[in-house]
Amino acid sequence: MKKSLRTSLAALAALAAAVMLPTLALAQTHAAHEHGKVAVDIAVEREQLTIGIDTPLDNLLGFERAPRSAAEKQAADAAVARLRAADGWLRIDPQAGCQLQAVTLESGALGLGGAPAEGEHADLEGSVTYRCTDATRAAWIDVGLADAFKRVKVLQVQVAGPQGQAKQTLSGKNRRVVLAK
Amino acid sequence: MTPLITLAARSAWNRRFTLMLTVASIALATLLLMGIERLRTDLRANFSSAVSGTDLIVGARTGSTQLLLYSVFRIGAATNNMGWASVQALAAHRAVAWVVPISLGDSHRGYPVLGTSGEYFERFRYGNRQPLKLAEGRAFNQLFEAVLGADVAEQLGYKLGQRLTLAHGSGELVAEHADKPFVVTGILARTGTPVDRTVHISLESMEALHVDWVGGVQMPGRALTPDQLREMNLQPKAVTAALVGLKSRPAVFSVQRWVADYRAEPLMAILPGVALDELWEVVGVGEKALLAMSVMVGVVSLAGLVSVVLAGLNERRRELAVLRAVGAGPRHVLALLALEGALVTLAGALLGLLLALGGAAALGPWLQSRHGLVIGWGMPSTAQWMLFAAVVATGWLASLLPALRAYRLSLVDGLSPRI
Ligand SMILES: [Zn+2]
Repeated sequence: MKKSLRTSLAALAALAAAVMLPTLALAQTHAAHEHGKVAVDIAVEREQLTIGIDTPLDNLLGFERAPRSAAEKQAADAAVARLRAADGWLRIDPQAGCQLQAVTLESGALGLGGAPAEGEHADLEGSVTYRCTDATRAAWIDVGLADAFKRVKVLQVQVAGPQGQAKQTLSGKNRRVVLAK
Repeated sequence: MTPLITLAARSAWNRRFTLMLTVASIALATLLLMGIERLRTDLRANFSSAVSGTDLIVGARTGSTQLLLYSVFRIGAATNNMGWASVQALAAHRAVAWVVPISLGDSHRGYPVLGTSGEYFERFRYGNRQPLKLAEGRAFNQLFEAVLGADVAEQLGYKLGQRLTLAHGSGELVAEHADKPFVVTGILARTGTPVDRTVHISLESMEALHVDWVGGVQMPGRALTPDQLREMNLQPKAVTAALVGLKSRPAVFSVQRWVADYRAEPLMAILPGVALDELWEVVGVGEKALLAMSVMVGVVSLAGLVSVVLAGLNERRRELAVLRAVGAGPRHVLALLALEGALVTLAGALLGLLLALGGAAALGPWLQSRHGLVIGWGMPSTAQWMLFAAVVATGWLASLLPALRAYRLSLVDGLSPRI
C-alpha cells in the first residue's frame, strides 16, 4: 500500500498519543478520585442548564470521612451550605436569562444519600439546575469553586451543548468556561 | 523628490539579485507559516467533522483518545472487545435512544473493514449532522454483502456487483478469507471522513467470517460453506465498540458514569467531542513545535539577508553620497531605504500568500482523493492574516537596520565618503 500523508499524519497522532499515554490515562478516568481536581459536567439545552460536579471530599473539607468532632461537623455544614448557595460560586452569562432552580448534593460520608463511602476515599456529587429563557445564548459560565474552596486547584470541564461537545481545563486564576465556539 | 525616487529605483535595479533573494526568502517563510496554519486548522476541521450526532462511544476500558482513534478514525487497534451482553444492557438503558455496534479488525487491500448493524446507515452522522447517502445500490441486507466508501470504490475501480475477499487483520501478513467472497451491493456518496475509506459489512457477516477460525488461523478441515453458515446463529459474541445516541442531552453524563460503573466488564464511555479536544491537547504540542520551527526559518533567513545588505552598505557609500549631492538629506536617505524595505517585504509576503493559496488549490483535489483530507483554499483565515501581518512587520523592521546604518553613514560622510 502506498504510504499516504493521511496515514503518516495519523501515525504521528497515534505516536503522540502513545507517548502521552500516562497523561491520557489520567484524563480518561474523568470521575477519578484525585485531590485538587473537580470534574465539572455542563449540559446546555434551550430552557435548562445543568451543571454537575464530582469532587473528592478532601477538596471541600480537608478530610474524607464522616465528621467526628463538633468543629468538623460545623465545617461540613458550612461547606454544604456554600455549595447549596450555587449562585455564590456559579455565574452564568446574563444573555441566557437563567434562574437557579435546584441543587442536589450526594455524599455518603456526609449523610446526604448516595453511595456509602468505600475505603479511604469519599466523594461528593452535586447537580445544579437552572431554568433559562434561552441557555443556548450563554457564551460563558464562571465556575468559582476554586475561590469557594481553597483546596480546589483544577477543574476538568466537559461540555455538551447545541454546538457539540468540548473539553476545557481550568486552573490557576481561570474561572471561565467558554461555551460559544 | 522625483529624481530621488528615480535614483533609488536605479539603485534597486542594480541590486536586483540581492533584492530578489530577499523577496524569495520572505515568500518562502510566508508560505511555510501560512501552509502550516492552514493544514493545522483544516486537519482539525476534518477530524471534527468525522463524527457528529453521536453522544457517546462505548468500548473496553482504555485511553479515551485510543478509543476515539480506532472507533472513528480506524487508527490503532482495540486491545479488548466489548461483550454482546453489554451492548444489549446499554441499549436497554432508559436514557439511550439507539446503539450502533461496530466491529473492526479485518481489511481489504489496506482499507479497513467495519462490521456494523444496518442501523449504522440511518444513525451515523458526519460534518454538520449530515446523514450518509448511498450514491449507488443499497445497504447490505444479507450475509456476504458489502457497502463501499467512496474512496474505496474509486481507488480500486469497483462497481456494484464486484466480488471481493476480505483479509484477516490489517498488517503486512494477512490471511485471506478466500473461501467467503463478498459482493458489493452499495457505494456511499463521498463524505470527506474515514467512512470514505471503509468497507462496511454486517455484524453477522463479520461473525460468519470467523466462526471457523481460532486464534487468527482457519481450522483445517473445519471450513464451513456459506450455505452452512446461513443456517447458523451468527449473533456476535463481542464487538469493538458501540456508538450511542441519547434521548436527551443532559443524560450524557449520567450514562457515562453508568458505563464507567458497569459491573459485568470494564467499560468506558467517551464524549467524542471531549476526546477530540484531548487529542488536540496532545497534538497541539507538536503543532506548536512545527510553527516555532517555521518562525525560526523566517528569522534565520531575515537575519542572513540583513547581514548581506549591511555588508553591501560600505560599497554603497558613493551611491549615498550621490543621493546627498542631488539634494537628499540623511532623513531622505533613511526614508528611501525604509520604503525599499517595506516594498520588498510586502512583495515577498504577497508572493508567499499567492503560493500558499495556489498550492492549496492545486493540491486540494489530490489530497482529497488520495488521503480523504479536505483542504480549503478559500480566503485566508484571521489567524493567517495575523501571521501575514507579522511577517510583513518583522521583515520591515529587519530592513530598518541597514536603513539606520545608511542614515548614520550619510550623516558622517556628508558629500564625500572616505573610502
Ligand atoms: Zn478476519
